[in-house]
Amino acid sequence: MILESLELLNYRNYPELKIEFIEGNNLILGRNAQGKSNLLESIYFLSHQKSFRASRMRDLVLEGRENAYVKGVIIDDERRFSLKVGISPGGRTAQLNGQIMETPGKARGVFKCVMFSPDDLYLVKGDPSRRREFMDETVEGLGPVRAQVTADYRRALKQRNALLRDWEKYGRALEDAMDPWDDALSRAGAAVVVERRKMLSAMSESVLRSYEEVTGAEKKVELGYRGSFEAGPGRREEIEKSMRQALSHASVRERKARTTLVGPHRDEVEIRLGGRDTRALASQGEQRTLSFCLRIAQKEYLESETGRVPVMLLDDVFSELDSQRRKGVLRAAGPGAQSLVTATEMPAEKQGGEGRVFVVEKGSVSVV
Amino acid sequence: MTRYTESVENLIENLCGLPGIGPKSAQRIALHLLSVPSEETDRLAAAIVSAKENVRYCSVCFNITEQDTCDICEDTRRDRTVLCVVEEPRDVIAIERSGSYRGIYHVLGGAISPIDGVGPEELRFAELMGRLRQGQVGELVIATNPNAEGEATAMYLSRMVRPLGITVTRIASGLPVGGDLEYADEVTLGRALEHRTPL
Repeated sequence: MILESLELLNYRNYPELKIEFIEGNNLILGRNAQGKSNLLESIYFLSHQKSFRASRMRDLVLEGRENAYVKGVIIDDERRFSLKVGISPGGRTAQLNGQIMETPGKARGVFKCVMFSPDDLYLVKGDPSRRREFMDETVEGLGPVRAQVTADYRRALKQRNALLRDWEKYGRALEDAMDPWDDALSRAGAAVVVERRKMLSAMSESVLRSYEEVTGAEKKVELGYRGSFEAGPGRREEIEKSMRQALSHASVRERKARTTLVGPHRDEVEIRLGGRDTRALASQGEQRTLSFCLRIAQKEYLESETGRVPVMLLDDVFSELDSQRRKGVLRAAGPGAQSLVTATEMPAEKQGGEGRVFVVEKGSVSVV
Repeated sequence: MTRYTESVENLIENLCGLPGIGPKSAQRIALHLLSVPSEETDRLAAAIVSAKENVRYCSVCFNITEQDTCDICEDTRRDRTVLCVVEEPRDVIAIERSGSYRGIYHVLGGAISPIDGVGPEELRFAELMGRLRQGQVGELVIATNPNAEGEATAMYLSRMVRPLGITVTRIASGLPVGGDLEYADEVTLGRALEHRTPL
């Protein structure tokens, strides 16, 4: 996929912006706090309809304004489509080729990108929720159909937790009231587990290969999925049954905790390097390399599952990569692909090289 | 002047929060009402009062009606062996418009949603069970919405009804008729494929 042009209105520190990118490499230069990351964030927002660093939607809107939008024109194979995601006090809206989507979520993941950011270190080092978010983000990238299972699961979980929060209120009717949500949660939960297992087994191979490419070292990397309930390697129906059982075993504990204790929202991904757990035992350098490899694996997975090459967004990570990895990234953005890279200064490899160079200064962008 | 007078503010406040109406629309509607002749506003006010006074829930199916029982429940030509369960009265209208249903209805008054404090007790399940126990109904068609709450409600219902030996069916979800496959939204298309039927 190629992001041909980007249009912003009232997004963060950009009152108005329209720029055109090229296929291949795009380098975005600027001093700190000029709006480089905001620019990449807006592109991430176009794809995922949320930010990877702000939790509130209205933080994305320029101070003193009510409405903002991000619009992109995207080339997907030979076709061209426009996607516009708006933020207003009432919520989000999405338009695909000028048509307003019934629910904005249906346009999520239609445009695909993979974001590399300095925070990626926490994919390895951080707590389990970071890795679950990574998996959910990947599923969202697969497009609205595959992402529906995650949405269904979240919805059922929210409902079930609401029930557990004041379960006394239901008295004898509690079991009857819980039943449909146990069903809904297990059904969606099993689908999430199937999706995640598939993803991790594909990513394991990618990570193994790219870790070796980057470091030259032959250390075995393993990604393991550790569920919050016992489930064999079986089909969705069997996992669903196991989860349903685990839920009924946990019912007393769940009432005490007033929240759902079983399911993919409590699952964990273990990343092992040479047989050791990387979260506690790997060096910071190893963790950084691994997190980089996870992003590469994410890109490759989206590519192999959907046949679309995601746009690569690299936010200020160039300075942290050694030259070998930099070359690897630039190579990855070959023909039919695109990378947008931010940096505070021109990296040595790029001087006089191909690609378009932009300079960001106080919310305005110019082509060098 | 940064605020409207008290009675205008009061009007805006009362409009705001109606389904689909935010503060800005409320303000626009209020100012519009003030600009039209008073016959028009009287008519609107009278329409609201009269609808509220005359309309009640059907004592059998809980659809809205102006009598004790609604026209559909009164209609002797309807097939009383098939009963369709819906969330809201507007769903009855939608199904009636299709012209392809000749059975009777039961309006639950919503869907199970703990977030909104709606459990089975808040809906008209007990009344439904009472009707089913009379033994006339042979098929129960569940036509709750195809979202998380609607599906959970359908599941709950099918479990409650199973011991009665009544056939329980769920309306299909899938493609809009007369549309192009290419333009169907992906989630709907995915669902339609999942629930494909043999020819």
